[in-house]
Amino acid sequence: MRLLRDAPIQWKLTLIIMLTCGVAVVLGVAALALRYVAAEQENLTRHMAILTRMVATNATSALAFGDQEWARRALAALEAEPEVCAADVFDADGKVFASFRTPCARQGETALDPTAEESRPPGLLLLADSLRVVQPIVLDEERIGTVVLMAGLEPLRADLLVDAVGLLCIVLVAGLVAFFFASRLQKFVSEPIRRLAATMKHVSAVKDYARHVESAGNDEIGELIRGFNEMLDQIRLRDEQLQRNVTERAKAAEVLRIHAKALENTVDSVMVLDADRHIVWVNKAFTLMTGYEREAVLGQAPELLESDRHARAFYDDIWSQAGQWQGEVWSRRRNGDIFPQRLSISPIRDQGGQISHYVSVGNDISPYKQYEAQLEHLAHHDTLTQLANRGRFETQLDETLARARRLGGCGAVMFVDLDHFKAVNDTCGHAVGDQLLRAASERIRQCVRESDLVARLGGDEFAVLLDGLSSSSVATKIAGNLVASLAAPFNIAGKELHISSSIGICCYPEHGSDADELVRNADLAMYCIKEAGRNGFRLYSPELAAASPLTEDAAPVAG
Amino acid sequence: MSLSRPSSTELRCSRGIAGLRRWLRLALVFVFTLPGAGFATYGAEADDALVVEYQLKAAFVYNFAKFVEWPVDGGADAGAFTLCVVGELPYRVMQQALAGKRIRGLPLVIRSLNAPTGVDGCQLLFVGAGAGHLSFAPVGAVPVLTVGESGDFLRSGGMINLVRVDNRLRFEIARSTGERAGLKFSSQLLKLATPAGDAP
Repeated sequence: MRLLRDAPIQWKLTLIIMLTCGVAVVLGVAALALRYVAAEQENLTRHMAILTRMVATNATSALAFGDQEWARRALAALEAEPEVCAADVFDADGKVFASFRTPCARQGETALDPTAEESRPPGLLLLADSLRVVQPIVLDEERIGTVVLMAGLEPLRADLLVDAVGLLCIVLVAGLVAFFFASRLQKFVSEPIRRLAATMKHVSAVKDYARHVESAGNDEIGELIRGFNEMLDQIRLRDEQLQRNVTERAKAAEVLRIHAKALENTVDSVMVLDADRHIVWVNKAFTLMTGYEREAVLGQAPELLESDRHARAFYDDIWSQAGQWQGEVWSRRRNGDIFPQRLSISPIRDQGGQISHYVSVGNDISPYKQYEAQLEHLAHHDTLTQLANRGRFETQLDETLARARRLGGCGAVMFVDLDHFKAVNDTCGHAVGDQLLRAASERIRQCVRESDLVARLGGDEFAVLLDGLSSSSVATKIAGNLVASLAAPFNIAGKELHISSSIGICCYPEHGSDADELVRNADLAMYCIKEAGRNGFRLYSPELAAASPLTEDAAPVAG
Repeated sequence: MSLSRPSSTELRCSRGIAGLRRWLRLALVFVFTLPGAGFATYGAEADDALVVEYQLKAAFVYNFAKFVEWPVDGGADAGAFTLCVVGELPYRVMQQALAGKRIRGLPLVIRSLNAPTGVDGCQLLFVGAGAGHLSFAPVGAVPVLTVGESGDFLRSGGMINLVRVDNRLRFEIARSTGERAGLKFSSQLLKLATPAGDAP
């Protein structure tokens, strides 16, 4: 049974067809054979009956007249019949009148029994030994004797055997033909299934989903094949989609990797925080900038970078921004250095709009800051003496005056002009002149307070702004110190140089409250002392302005 | 079905019940044929051998009647088959031997003829040898089957003559004579006849 279950469908189908055909053929042949045997039997029986009747008729007169010779002659005619084994003619008294025997008669059987009824075996004659036919000899309604005929059934059996063999051959041939047709016909069913199975094996082995099974008709197998093909199509589509997805994912991963590399290697310091503002990732530039290794800061709060230069509210303000925040922040490195950085903090929102991460991109801008300070310095200072220049002086003056006006307090503006500097410049060269200017400005700085502003207005002209003086006498005292200091000889490049200075002083608020007025008055005071013989100072007074009305042309001549 | 079954078993057991029956039947035949045999021995008191001879001839004559066809209108008396016997002994023996016999359904009537002149009403005429051929006159065209037992019976116009050949009783047939009289001999009869006559 297991063998049958595991057998290929084509064998099963062939077996079914052959079994069906075989049962039909066997039943048909059996019925036919039975009918044939019955007919043969009937035939034989009838033939024997006719023979017996003929013998009876032929032997009637012989029996009537006691002519045994003729009776024997009548019986001898039976020789032509191979089936007949024995025949006897009995007279009315049951005595044997004539007898006939062939070699097929059984040994020892001398006479047949005339009194026995006609023995005709019921059913199949084949099973009996012999057929006995009894025929009374009747003459004019008077029974004068009996003919008994015995037929052997061997010839019938032999015939039937031959016929049976022939029939068996026919059945075998029919079986072969049926097998031929069955093995052809079953392919209608099994062949598509076999192809389907083969394709399925191929597909599962090679994963070739583009392969299709040739459809066979519109029956259930055809539907099965179509369904299978559609399934293959779907698998192929899904496979391609999957492949595409994989490719896309690989590309996306590649992009992510590139992005990560880019972020990792960018010169900007990048720090990623989660929604609770814990550091989840930093790049190399971060480590370079802050000195913190990545492992040291993961999970930490960004407060470890905060410097004390900002109030707490400043940081709170940064983090409370809904969108991107940009600005400059003072931060602290691991080694404690404070440095400025340009910071950009952007929240990353998830699909629900909730902040999931923050990205903080920072740049160490301390070099820029230094450069900026240098530029600032260059803009406001004299490059030769490193003193403030005219612009800075005027700005500072305006601010100081404004504060003095607002808060009260007094101060002074001094114009210092070096006498005979042009001669030194002409005789000793510009280099010596420049060194002299530097030395002179140093002496001026030493004569004033640290908080006082000393500016070089140009050439050999200096200005000093003294703020927060208790009285103008302090100013004159400082001016006296200055004159004395500058009158001392300068030792420059191995030479002793002698110059002097003329200083004009103007105090505020008593001599004026706006810058122009103060500058003009100080300038006037300075020209007054220059006119008066140089090497000294002069405090401005209104009488001074009235006494010597200076013209603009006089100033350059005096310088 | 229920009827045929016992017969089949009866056949199969032929050595049992069937064998017993056979013996019973033989016994019955013997009992019935005994009185006939007694008659025969009783009638043969004059000359036993002759009586036996005529008894045999009576059987022959009787059987001849069965193998010969008479014309339909030939019979004078339609109510019986008349056998006329010439000769005293033959008549007596035949009357005893054939008493009560029937031919073609007709009762057999046996008449004695002392002179062969009045054959009217006879269908079969047996001429005994004792009567001599002088006493016999051929009946000619009248459909009467004539049976004799003398050597020249056929030549003198008889149809069937009983003869002894090799100590067996045989007969000769003058077929043409009979056919002229309108009688028809069965081939069964003709084939048994000895070729002395004009029979085939």
